[in-house]
Amino acid sequence: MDATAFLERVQALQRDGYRLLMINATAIASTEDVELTWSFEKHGHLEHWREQVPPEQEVPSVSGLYPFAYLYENEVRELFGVKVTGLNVDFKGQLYQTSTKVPFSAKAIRARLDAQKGKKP
Amino acid sequence: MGNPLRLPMALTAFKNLFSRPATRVEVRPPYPGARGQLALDLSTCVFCGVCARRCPSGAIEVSREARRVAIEHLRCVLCGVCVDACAKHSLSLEAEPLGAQLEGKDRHRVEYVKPSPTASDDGPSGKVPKAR
Amino acid sequence: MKKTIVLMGPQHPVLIEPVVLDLVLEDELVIDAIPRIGYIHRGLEAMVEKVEYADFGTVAERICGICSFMHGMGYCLAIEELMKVEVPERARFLRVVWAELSRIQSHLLWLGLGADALGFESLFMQCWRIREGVLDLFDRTTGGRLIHSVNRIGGVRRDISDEDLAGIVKTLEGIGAAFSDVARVFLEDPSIRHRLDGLGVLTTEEARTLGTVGPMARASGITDDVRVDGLSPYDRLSFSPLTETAGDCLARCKVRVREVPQSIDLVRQAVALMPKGPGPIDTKVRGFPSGEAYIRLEQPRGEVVYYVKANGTKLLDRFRARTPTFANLPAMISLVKGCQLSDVANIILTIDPCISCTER
Repeated sequence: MDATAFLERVQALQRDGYRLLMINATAIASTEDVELTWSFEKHGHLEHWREQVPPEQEVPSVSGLYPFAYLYENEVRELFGVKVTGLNVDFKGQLYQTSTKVPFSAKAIRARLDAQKGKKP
Repeated sequence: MGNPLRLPMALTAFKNLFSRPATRVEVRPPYPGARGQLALDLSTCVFCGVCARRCPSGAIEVSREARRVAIEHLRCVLCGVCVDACAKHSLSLEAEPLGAQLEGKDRHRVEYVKPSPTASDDGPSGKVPKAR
Repeated sequence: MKKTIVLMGPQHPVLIEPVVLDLVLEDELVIDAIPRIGYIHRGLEAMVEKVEYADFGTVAERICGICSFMHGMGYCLAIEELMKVEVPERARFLRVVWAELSRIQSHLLWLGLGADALGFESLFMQCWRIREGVLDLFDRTTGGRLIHSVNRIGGVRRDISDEDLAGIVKTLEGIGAAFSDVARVFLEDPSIRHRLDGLGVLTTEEARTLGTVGPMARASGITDDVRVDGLSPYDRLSFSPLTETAGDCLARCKVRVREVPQSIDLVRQAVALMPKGPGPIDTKVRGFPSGEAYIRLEQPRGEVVYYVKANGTKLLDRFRARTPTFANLPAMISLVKGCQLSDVANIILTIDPCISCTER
């Protein structure tokens, strides 16, 4: 992932008056990758930046530009296992209390699907 | 700093003193069309199992060989997906909610078993033999 | 000056929502607040692996009891956009009627809880007594008081006859009249003003950088309301976002108090513009969705974003609800720092928290 190009684009969007709408992560079933989408909004118009993030890749935080992004980034880190660096507020894995650590990792999703297949008659 | 609402509040308090209680003392009957409990009409059921597959909370179990449907009432969230999915319109949502009827061991799991048609049947399936 | 750590939540006599806040105190002043969530995390977004797309609306509307209708509606709108389904006009207006009723009951709930947090229990009871009238309307028209299950992909499941709609407008007039007495207390009572005035001030600039949405942003002067440039038929209804400039707890209370008569007026407009019934209330939907959709709606608590990703099979790839409380949490945490311990409950309440929505 080209971190410099990404941060430049986010900065350009912010200068243009866009606000950060949400940071969404989707676990892709067939691979171990996580698809991260940053969504920005201005007057009803949406802009997105998408990255396919392999498990060990580091993703830069946008909390330097949008200070409240720490909540989304901590959630993505704790539920999906994405390595986000440079957070301004870091809960160190303590934000979400779940019984399965990283419940949306590829391993956990496969375990749930197998358990479901086992239960079906 | 005086309170401009002192007089209206006093009037409200006086009115409340002499009116009926605001809370309902007896349970009112349910409105028609309320979603109270799930009911099954066994006479039209063919045990296809679509309701069990579609139920979001897994409250229905269907066994075709045993001709049995079991409804787990404590799992049912009264969403109505099974009612819409049933091709024979066997399931319906009744207005009266289940309350005290669920108390007691396993009273919340209700099983419906349809007796098999015997060899001396008139029709192809599901018809109960006439009393001789 | 001693530093103590007070663990507030998940259960607390004055806290309505199960958010856990570790408060770092110096005497009575809060200098830091560390949130922890997950008490209500049920993994509802993981249920896309199990529940088919046609039935997932019932899961989506059970994310939260107060905001239930709009969750179901937002999900159905997202799938309808993916499958290019044309929803009949009557169904769209019915959705608006139920959505605005949902907003009225949510604001009445918040006003009651706000009064309760201040200790004003009789006002709490009066607000909820008025709210019962709205819940009765829901019970008669949808079959359930809080969870309605009337949204289905392509339209709605039940119709409301024209006489019943006129009856709803009449009932709402009575509710509006009863509410105006209660509203007077919120706006004029000196004890409420004393507790809320000047508390938790959020300037316009701070509200923007913290990314707040909904009544919380509108009370700081930002005129953002998703309904304004929103989906049909909101574009045919005439209203304007209500804003205040003070940005404190009292301003947020005032915005919500004023939104109740605005919603009653919106229901009246929608009933007047609705095509005469009985008419088609849903469109048959066949096939499977594929692609991605973003839907933004205005929930009682603010702007909610629904993201749906489908791959052409009966199970979805991803469903994400970015709820307004999730967007307002950073503002709450920043407001709690620097306040007195006795005001923490008021500040948590002022964002209108809905932790069920936040944690899904």
